[in-house]
Amino acid sequence: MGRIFFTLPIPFIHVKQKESAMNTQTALKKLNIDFANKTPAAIFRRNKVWTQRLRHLSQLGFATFILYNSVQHNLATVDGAVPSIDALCPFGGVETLWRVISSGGQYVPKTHASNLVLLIGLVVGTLIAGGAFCGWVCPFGALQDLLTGIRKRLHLPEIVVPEKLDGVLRYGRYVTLAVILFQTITTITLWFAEIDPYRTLFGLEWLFNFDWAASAGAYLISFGVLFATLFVERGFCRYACPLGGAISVLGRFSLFRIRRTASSCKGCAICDVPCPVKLRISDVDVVSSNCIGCMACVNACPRHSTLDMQLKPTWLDFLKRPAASTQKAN
Amino acid sequence: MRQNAKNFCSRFAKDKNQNPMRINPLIPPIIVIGVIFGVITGADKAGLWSTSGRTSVNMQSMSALDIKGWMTIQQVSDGLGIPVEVVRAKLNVPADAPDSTAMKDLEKIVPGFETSTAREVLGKP
Repeated sequence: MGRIFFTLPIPFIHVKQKESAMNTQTALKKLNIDFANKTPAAIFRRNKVWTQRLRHLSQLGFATFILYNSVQHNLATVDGAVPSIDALCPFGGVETLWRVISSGGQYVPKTHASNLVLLIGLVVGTLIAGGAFCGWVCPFGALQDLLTGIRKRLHLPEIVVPEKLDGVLRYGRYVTLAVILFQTITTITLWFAEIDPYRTLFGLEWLFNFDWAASAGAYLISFGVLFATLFVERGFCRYACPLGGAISVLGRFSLFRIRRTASSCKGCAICDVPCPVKLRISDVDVVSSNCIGCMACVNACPRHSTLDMQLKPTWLDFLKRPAASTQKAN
Repeated sequence: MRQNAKNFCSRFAKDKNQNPMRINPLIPPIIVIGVIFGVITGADKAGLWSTSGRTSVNMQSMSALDIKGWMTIQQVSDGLGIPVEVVRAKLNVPADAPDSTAMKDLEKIVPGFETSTAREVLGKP
């Protein structure tokens, strides 16, 4: 792909002189000038490919680990030998946190110390580096990216949610989070586990122990989420994921943020195109905390040092503003 | 040659002035994944990593809500401070089932019994 960008102008200029164009290319080769590999645009393109390749590799690794664990758990003959995926989910830590604090160390059934440990790791990681967990680790996010890939491969249409409706629907994550926390605290059970599409799909009980009568609701919800996500990219992450809601709140305080330098931005809006969670990047100075840290926008920006991940938290801006205004007043 | 080297260095200096806080886009995911694995390793070394309910229940201060499928009739009795006979009677345990029978095994022996019903029945005063 990198070569196409730089060889295109030559046939365009010399449309009727193909031979001449060939001569130009041969001349460049003789001069040992490899434009295709060494120009900033080529480096951007190469980085883009590698960043996204690494991201998909990371997602595949975590999803495979969870699926392997689920298979082992379902096939285990000794009880407790292999943990269920309930024990390996940081959201279990969110659900059981109140119970642990209020009861002095007791957990909501099916949650364990591992859930709290994962939650601590996620909170610390998010406060430092934002929502990269969603883009690089979460197996359910990986599944949604896979569905988007399938849709693109099959040339199926994408449903673009209108901006105003999208803005309202994004609050759905906080509503889901609040309802789950309320139900979990009042019933002291993993209330959401019964219908959680991530648990239903990656727990693999539908494969090893299919029970329509007991789990019809979970199956229908999971199928509905998968079907919707096929047409609405990362639909569950954007509108319903309770863990995503919690990460988004924490992400507001993260040290690393993607920032746009308005002075050098030409407003081409290319950065808006690849965003899996459909954030507006081209007209903001700091990318929203709903960002999943996939870096597709940073890779897509054709201008050097315009859209960057920066070690510059937004709360630092608030601290600087009063100081700047004081200086002006002086 | 020297001029080339100067240009090369000045180009980097200019970039640095433009965005002093700019970092490699791969650093945030590496940090998130590294922190998660680091915390898991630290917890494991400190003996705090547990993925099984067998170690997450404090048997000295458990309530009926903490009854697990792996707990035996005797463990439930000890944990809740209720005599074994009372537990057996409330859960309709057959006489031939020993006190070492786990709650989840009772589900196969006692018709309609589930661990959640044990929590409800034994949770009532």
